[in-house]
Amino acid sequence: MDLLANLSQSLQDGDDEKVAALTKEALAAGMSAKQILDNALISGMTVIGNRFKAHEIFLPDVLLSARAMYAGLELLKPLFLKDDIPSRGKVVVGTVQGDLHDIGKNLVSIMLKGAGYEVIDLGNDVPPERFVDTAVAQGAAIIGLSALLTTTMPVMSQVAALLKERGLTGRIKLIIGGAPVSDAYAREIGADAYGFDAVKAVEIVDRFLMRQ
Amino acid sequence: MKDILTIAAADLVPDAQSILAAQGVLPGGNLRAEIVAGAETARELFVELAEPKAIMKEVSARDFDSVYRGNGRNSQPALLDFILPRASHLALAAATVGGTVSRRITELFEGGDYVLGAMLDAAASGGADRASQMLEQLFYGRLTATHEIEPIDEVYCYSPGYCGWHISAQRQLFDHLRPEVIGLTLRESFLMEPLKSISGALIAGPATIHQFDDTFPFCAECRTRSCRARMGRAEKRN
Repeated sequence: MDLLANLSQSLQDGDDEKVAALTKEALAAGMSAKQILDNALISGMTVIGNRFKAHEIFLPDVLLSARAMYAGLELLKPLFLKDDIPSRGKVVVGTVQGDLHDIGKNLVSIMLKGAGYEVIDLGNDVPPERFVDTAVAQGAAIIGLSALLTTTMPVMSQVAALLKERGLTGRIKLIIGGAPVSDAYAREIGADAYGFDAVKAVEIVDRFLMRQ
Repeated sequence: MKDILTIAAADLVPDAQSILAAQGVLPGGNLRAEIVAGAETARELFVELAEPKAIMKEVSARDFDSVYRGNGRNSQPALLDFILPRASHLALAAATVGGTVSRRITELFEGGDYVLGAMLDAAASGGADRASQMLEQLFYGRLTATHEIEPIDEVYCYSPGYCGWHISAQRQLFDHLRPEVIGLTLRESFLMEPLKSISGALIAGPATIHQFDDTFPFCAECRTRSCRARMGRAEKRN
C-alpha cells in the first residue's frame, strides 16, 4: 500500500497517532500539503461519510475518524498558511439565540472541518446579527444554524430575513438543522437547505460550494 | 406538599448499550474496542460528575389546569385534553442531573475527545430520562401505598414542548413548582438550565387513558416517538 493510501486507511481506522506519523512521513517524502489533504485525508473522510450513509458504520466510528483527520490537519495547517493555500470554503455555524443545545452543531462543525472546510463556530445562544455580521466579515459563503427548541426556531427566520434585508440572499447560503426543523420549514423561511444530520450537512455544503 | 429529592447518580446512569443506542449503534453491531470502552468511561464519568436532584408536588385538577393552559398556545386539540378528564391524580415535577456534566461535555468536545463527549452527552440525557421514570415510580408508589389508585393504574410524565402541550407553559409550571430550589432556572426561550433536566406533569389514572393513536398533527413532526415504547411497556404489564 502506498503512503497516501496507508494514511487514508489509518484515518478510516480512527488511528490518530498513525495519521500524525504518516502525515509527517509524507511531508518528509516531499509531498505537498494539498496532495496529502486531497488524496489521503479528505478522500478517507469521504469513504467514512459514505459508509455512515450506507449504515455500515456508526456515529462513534465517524467521530474517531474525525479526530484522526484533525491529527493530520494540524500538521498541514501551518503549511497552508505559509503557501497561502485557500481552504475549500468558509462556513459560519452556531446554535441560535435562546438555545444552548450544541451537540448537533458540534457534530456538524467536526464533520465540516473533517471535509476540509474552515469552520467559524460561534457557539450557542447566538443572535441573528452575529451570524450575518461574521459571515460578511469573514467572507463565508455559508451560514449553518442549529436549534433544538420550537421556541428558538423563529430565530432562524430572523437570520433569513436579515440576509434578505441586506441583499445577501443567495450570495450567502443558509442551511438549517435540528430536531424540530424540517425541509418544509426551511422552504417556509427562505433558507437554502435543511440538513438532516452532519453527513447531509457536508453534502449540502459540498454542493453549494462546488457551484460557485 | 413538595418533595425535594437527592438521587444517587449511580441509580440514574444508563447501561452502555443504551448509551451506544442513543448514537445510532444497533445491537450486535461490530464495534471497535475503543468505542465500547468509551461507553463505559462515559458511565463512570456520569456517576462521578452528576448531582441529580428532583422536586415533586401533587396538585389539584384546578391548579393543574392553569399550568396546562399556559398562555393559551397549546395545539387544538392536544393529547392531554383527552387524558386529563380521566386522570385520578396529578403532580408537577422536575429533575436535573446538574450542571457539572454539561460543562465536562463541552470540555471534551473542545479538547477533541468527540467520542467520549458524545457518549457522556448520551449518558446525561439518559440519566435525565431515568430521573423522570423514577418520579413516575415515586408518585405511583405513594398513591398505591395510600390506596388512592388501583394497582392496575399507571403514572406517566408528560412535558411541555411535547404532544401539543406548548413549551411556553414551562413558565406557569415553574411559577407553581418553583424548581429553583434544586438549581433549575428557566430562560426566556423556556429552556431549562442546567441543560440535562426534565420537567412536566405526572398523570395517574387507568392505563387505558395513556393509550392513544399517534394521528395528531403534531405526531407527524415528532422525532422521539417515546410514547410508542411507553404504550408497549404498559400493554406488556397489563
